[in-house]
Amino acid sequence: METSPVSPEYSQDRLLGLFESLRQRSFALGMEEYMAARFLLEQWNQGNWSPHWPDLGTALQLLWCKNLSERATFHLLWQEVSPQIATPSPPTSAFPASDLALDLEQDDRAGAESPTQAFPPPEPDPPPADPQPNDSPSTASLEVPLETLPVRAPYRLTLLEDLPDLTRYTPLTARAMAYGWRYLRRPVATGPIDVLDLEATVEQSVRQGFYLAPVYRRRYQNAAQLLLLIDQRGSMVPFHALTRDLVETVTTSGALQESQVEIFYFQNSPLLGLYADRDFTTPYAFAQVLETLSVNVSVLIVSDAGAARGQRHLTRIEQTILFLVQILQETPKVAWLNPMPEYRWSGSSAEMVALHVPMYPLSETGFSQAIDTVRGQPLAHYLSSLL
Amino acid sequence: MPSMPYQFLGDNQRHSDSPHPDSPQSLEPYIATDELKQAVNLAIYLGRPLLLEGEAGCGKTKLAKAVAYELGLPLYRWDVKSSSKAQEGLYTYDAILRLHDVELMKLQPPEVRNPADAATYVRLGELGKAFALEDRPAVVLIDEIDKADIDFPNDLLAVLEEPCQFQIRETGQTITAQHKPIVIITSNKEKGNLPAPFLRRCLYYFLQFPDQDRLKAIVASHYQNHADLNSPEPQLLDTALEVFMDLRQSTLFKKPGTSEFLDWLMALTNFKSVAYKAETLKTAANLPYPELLFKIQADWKQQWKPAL
Repeated sequence: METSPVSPEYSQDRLLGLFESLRQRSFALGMEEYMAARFLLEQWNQGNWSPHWPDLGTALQLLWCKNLSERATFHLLWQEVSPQIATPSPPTSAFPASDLALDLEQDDRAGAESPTQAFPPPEPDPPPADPQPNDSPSTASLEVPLETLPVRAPYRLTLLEDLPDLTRYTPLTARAMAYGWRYLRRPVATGPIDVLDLEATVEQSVRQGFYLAPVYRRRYQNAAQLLLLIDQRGSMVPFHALTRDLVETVTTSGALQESQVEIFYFQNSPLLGLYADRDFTTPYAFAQVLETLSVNVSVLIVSDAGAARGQRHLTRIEQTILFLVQILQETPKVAWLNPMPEYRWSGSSAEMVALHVPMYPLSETGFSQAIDTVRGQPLAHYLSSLL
Repeated sequence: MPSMPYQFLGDNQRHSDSPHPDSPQSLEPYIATDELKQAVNLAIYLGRPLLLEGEAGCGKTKLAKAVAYELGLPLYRWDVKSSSKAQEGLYTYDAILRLHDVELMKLQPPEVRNPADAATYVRLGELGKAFALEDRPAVVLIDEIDKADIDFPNDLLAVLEEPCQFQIRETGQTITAQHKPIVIITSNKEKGNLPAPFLRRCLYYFLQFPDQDRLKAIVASHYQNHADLNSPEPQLLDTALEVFMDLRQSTLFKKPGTSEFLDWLMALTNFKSVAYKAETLKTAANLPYPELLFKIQADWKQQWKPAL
């Protein structure tokens, strides 16, 4: 297969297929990246390739992969697709010279080594041999008996599409969480006085009639404070990986310092007890935590609110509303994140709780809407018409 | 896409005949892997910035200097600070100086600067200077881009895309790049990931720590350049390499990099009047000059065994 030339349209189709499958695997790629890759493919197929450039696979990897894990994914996909996209023979025609004279470059090209193939094509299959019957058993010469090789279907490479997703349920990746947390900012001018305020300087000079000295103002710092209440165990066990990611990204993504974030865990109802760690060993009273709240603190509650089991318990709803009312008295910036998708909320306790607090699913849009709410810029939430 | 792009060969002997006055004058030898050279050439060909990530001290910044020296192009280095704004790389307008000159005019006539002309108070930043060049592209090094605010890389995007131009608001002048600059960006990933639209635009390359052979080549070229220093003996060099590689395999919070290895080797060879002996290095309970290798207290406590 590798000896027959690949038609340009076919190779471009396969390149598009590779691009789409990468985008399905959450590679952040756009049209410009695809056009650049197509341009490279055309140059490669026409032979306008300099020996100082990487081969096509490495070039696409440089263009499309932005970290090491993406590189590994790309490498797997490329190994299947590369014979269908690029003719494996190295480019023969040298890069056309132009008026920009780099004489040394001409000498170097003569001695340059051929580009090493980073992704070699697969070996051809040996053809199945027919069994040769040994007609003359009386001959003295020993003939090596020929054995049959198993006949199988020709080795045809196809791009794997629609891989069944047997990995964990990640409606929201850690990277999306990290981006979302960055938007939880409350810029307050509390930093050192070292930022030049040009307008104030000009205004002061105009008022005074002469210019004496520049006017400085304070630097803005992020004064956001977050209280994160996370439901654990019981119906939240399938979402432990998600909540663990949330906790990890909130302190390490660089938006909030550890002193600005407080994280507590509870089971089913915070009124029963709040714990500072996931294993429920250090308890805190709910009243204690309430005392730390103020108007500037944003509160995010991560819980399924009964949507996982799908039942409606009046006691659970009452307890949840009681605790919500106490929090809402201290701060209005409260949002509820529900790891279950929205179509599972109706008919469960979550539907009733959603009438009292903005509840969002734990997806990219839901998470960013929740951050907007707790930042103090709420959008109209369709379920909470009472709010 | 340019018709005949510049090619970086990583050859330390290669130097352009007519370098730009802003090009680096002296050679700092740099041994690059083939993949890195190819990545640089691809970035030049496609006209996209090259984003370099890797451990601290593995030669991200030196690459730009090597490229500029070899191709004879001017090097404009922009060290990004936490308070940097994207505008500063394009131009800065000194309004305070202009106001000051106007006040001064009341006392004496203007000597050097004329406050009536706004153009005297505009100073082009690194990207601005690169765009203003007429005969050749420039190499722009944006060092440690992750130090700045998260909006900083996105603000840069608009300028780096076609057409490469920006307008100076105060004078109304538009500066368009005749030749697209070669942009090399380094990042330490201090504050997490860079924004996705910015990452999409760049070519990404991860600099690995060099293996033993490349380290030897780096040491050889380093001492070739500094002829006044004694180069280490082969036995000491081999032992030091072994010890250093073992150290990197062990559990340290901050693994020492290439530049730390070069400093350590220099200390072993040249700090005292007599070079350190290879046998002593192999059998010593504690490594000599730990202050060059361990920069965190936890690492020091782990590796330093107190003499009993």
